[in-house]
Parts: sequence; structure tokens; C-alpha cells
Amino acid sequence: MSPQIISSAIFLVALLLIFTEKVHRTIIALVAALLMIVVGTFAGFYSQEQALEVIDFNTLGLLMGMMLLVALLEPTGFFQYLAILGGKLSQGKPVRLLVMLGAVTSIVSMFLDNVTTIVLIAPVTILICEILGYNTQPFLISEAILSNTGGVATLVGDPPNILIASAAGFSFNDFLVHSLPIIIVTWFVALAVLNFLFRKEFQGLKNKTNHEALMQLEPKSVLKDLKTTRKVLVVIILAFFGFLLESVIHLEPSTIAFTSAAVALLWVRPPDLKRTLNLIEWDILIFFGALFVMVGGLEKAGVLHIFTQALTESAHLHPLVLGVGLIWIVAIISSFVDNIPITIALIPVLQELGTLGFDITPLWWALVFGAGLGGNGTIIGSTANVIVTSLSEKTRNPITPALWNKKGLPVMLATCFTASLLYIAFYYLIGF
Amino acid sequence: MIRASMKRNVFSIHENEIIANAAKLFVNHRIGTLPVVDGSNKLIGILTLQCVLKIVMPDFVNLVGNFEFLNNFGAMEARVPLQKELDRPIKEIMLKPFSVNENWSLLHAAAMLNKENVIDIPVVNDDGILVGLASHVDIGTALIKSWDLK
Repeated sequence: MSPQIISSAIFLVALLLIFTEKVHRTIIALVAALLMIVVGTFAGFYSQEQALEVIDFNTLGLLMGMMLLVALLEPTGFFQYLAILGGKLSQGKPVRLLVMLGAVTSIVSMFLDNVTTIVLIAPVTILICEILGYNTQPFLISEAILSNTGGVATLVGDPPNILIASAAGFSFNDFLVHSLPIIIVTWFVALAVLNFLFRKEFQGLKNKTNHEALMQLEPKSVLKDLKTTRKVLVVIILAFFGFLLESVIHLEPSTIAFTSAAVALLWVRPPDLKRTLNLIEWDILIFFGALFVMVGGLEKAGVLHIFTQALTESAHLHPLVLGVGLIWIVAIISSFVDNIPITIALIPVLQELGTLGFDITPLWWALVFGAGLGGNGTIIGSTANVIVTSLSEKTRNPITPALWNKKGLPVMLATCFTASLLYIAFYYLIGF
Repeated sequence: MIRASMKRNVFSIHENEIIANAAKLFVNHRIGTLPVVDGSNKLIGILTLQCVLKIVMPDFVNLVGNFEFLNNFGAMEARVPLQKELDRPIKEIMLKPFSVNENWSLLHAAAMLNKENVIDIPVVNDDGILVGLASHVDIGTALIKSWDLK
């Protein structure tokens, strides 16, 4: 068997097993990565040294640094504070509640890990809905979709963005210029579509009157450690200044994130360091590392080269056709398969296209939008979707795959369409 | 031995009963734990008041962790289970069985209570057949009685 067939088989079987969700994705990726090294070593297309070289430590470092900051902030109750405050400000009006909770999760997801954000904010959402006697489905689905969408706006908002930025050399500011404006418009489109799709549900909520109970919530009492909250927030703000000034201070985003985490640890000095370190999502870091190794095997076996050649044959196409096509293809794949392996697999393909003289910058941005927005389409499209679905099972109105397809798929199509239009406009107006 | 301190006339419920019937037993007899048994009176699960109350106060209250910010539970206060929720079989909400053997010592039973973090524990014979129920008060007071209190 040729190296291409062996490595493709390992990668495709791993993807299939990740899709079935029978075994944790990290375990599958780890086994597949090691299989790729062992088989590759014996078949002569991959070596242990090469496997180490392909791991992008800049991505892993940035993820881990940000996770450490979140690990320090998480126990303080700050995330719940924001959700309760948002709920209270909505005065219990359904549309306003959806906007407030959606905005809180989106804004936090733009700067911090959106999985942690959803894990901490969704239970408060359910509680607020229960207090008001509302069906939780519209709020949970919207929260996941809006937070997925918001995360696409910044370099640190979504793991595929971190991967793409590291590979393409994009800075934090590049995302603020090229992605943020497009995502702001797309976010409002998503909000409008969600409001339209849930109009009947909201109509039925107008007669409910438990607003008084909502107004009696005391957000401040959820803040367990105000001192630590302040300290970590100061460090997070400084980290973002660091990201903004990346080109001036000549530090990689991973160095900035890790330095901030170290400063925060020194300042906060958590009483139980082991507990803080346990809050780091090690499964995600191992998943990333294993995927790098797995895709490295595909690359060394020459599989990705075949894809690049196929793409070169479409070189006669206008870059915009290629870009918009990439947005939609990646979005459709990402709505069924985890967007992280797809992004990691496409990065070397685009890099090789770049070495052949193609202008790949617009294609990097297409990959950002496709990978980020595609996940909204199905119940398994993103981790946030899976989390709100599993939390909804504890309520009277569990979210079903059919319901997600009915509400999430139109949002995915509308946001990808909007992003495609703006992508074309940006290409002509400011260039990529 | 635990068998000397346990209650022998114990209310139990069959695995195929529905939640509504279990709820009636809890209310009518003011009890907090119902051992769940099969046709041969073998212990196959445990139903507590907490298992039933979870229908109106689900796990998300625990997920939030801290609810000091809640002064008023609003619509949740008036929440009553839907008929379809009460018609579900108890099998769906009962806990896995845990028990002590009737021949175990009081301290062994107390350790089991502690491990399971419960206040009542079913007592079974060597064949796993339910023979009684011991509460933390039954076990605790029997243990204290054995001390040389002056």
C-alpha cells in the first residue's frame, strides 16, 4: 500500500470515529497520531523527529496561556455575574433577554474560550428562564449560535483562528481589521434571523409575569472573590494591549498570553495551584497536538500535495470564486465534522499553494469564516452547541437535532451568505 | 450487628411502579427513602425524596453552584410536575442499589452511610433480599449507646 493510502486511511477513520462520538475525540486523535508515527516510521514516509517539528507550539502556547487566565477567573463567579446582570437589564422581556444574553456570551467569547463561557453562562440562562417561566430552547440555541459567531471576530476568539493566524502570520490587529467588521454585521444578521425564527415562541411568553422575581436577583452576591476578579481582569486587559501592540513589542501571541498568565498567577497566588491547573482543558491541548502530528503524516506522505495540485488546476478561477467556494465548502464540512481537524488539514494545503505563487491571503480569511460559521448548522457542529443541548436535557424542553436543524441551519446559511457578500465587498474595497 | 438496630416493617416499591404512586407513599407515610425491589423482594434500586423532587428542581440549580443571588424563585415556586412526568416508571429516576448486610457491624454500616452520603440505608440478607432499613439515627444512637457514657 502506498503511503498516501495508509495515511489517508488513518486520518479518515479517525475523523469518522470522532464524528460518531462513541469515544472521546482526544483519545481517538491521540491513538491515530501515534499510529501515524509508528506506521509512518516503518513505511518510511514519516519520522518521530518530523512529528515533533509539525506541532505548532505557538498555537498550543496561546491556547494554554488563555486557558490559565480563564482558570483563574472562572471560580470568581465573574461569568455568572455578567449573565445575571444581562438578565436583569433585559427586565424579562424575551427579545431583550435573548439580545442581552447573546451579547454577553458573544463579547466574552471574543476574548476568552467560548466553551468555558457557555459552560458557565448557560446554567444561569436556564435558571433565569425557569424564574420567568420561559421555554429555554430559544435562549440556549441563540446563545450558542451567537457565541460561535462572535468568536470568529478575534484572533483568540475561536481555536481555528489561532491556528490560521499562527500559520498565516496574522496579527491580532489583522483580525480587528478584516474579521471584526464582517462579524459584527453577520452577528446582527444572526440575531435578526433568530428573532424571526423564534417569533412564535416569544409571542407566547408575553403573558408570563415573573419579572419581579428577576428584578430581585442580586448579581453582586455571585462574585465570590472581588479582589481576584479585579486582578485577573486587569491582566486580561493588559494581555489585549499586548496583542494589539504585537508588532511593536515583537512578541508572539503565545508569549504574551503565557506572560500574562504567569503575571496573573504571581499576583493572585491561588491557594490551591493544582486545582487551578486542573481547570486547564488538557483534553483540548492534547487533541490539538495529536491532530498536528496526524496531519503532519498526511503532509509528509504527499496526500495534501494531491489536494494542492487539484486546487492549482482551478487556478484559472477568480480568487473570489475560490474564496467564496472555500467559505461554503469548509462551512458545510464544519457543520458535520469538528472544524479543528479540517482547519489543521487545510493549512498545509494553502501554504503549499502560497509557495506556488498564489495569493493565498484571501483564502486564509475564507477559511476563518467557513470554519467559524459552519458550526452553527447542526447540533454537533460546535462544542457550544453540544453543551447547550446536553444542558437542555435537564429542562422540560430538551433541544432535539430536528429543532436545531430548523433553527440553526437557516442561521448558518444566512450568516455564510452575509459573510460571503461582505468578503467580496472587502476584497474590492480594502483588499486582503 | 445492624439487624438489631434496623426497622423491620419497611415500605418498599416494585420496580414497575410509576413516580406518582411512589410520591403518594412518601406523603402518606412521611418517609424519605423507598427501597425498590423486584418480584422476589430483591433490592434493585433506591428511590429517595430527592429523586422525586428533582423533577421540579432539576440539576441546573446545582450547576450554577451558588444561588445566593436568588431571592425569589419566581415561576419555579409554582412549578408542579406534568402528568406525563409523574407517569414515568420509577426505574428511570431511582438510584443504583446500595445496602448493608444484616450481619455487618454498626460501624461498618455507619461507614457505608457516610460513603453513600445518605440518611437511610436498606439492609439485605446474604441473598440480597430486603430485610429492613436503618436510618442514620438508628445507627448513630445504637453506636453511641455502646459507649461508656457516665
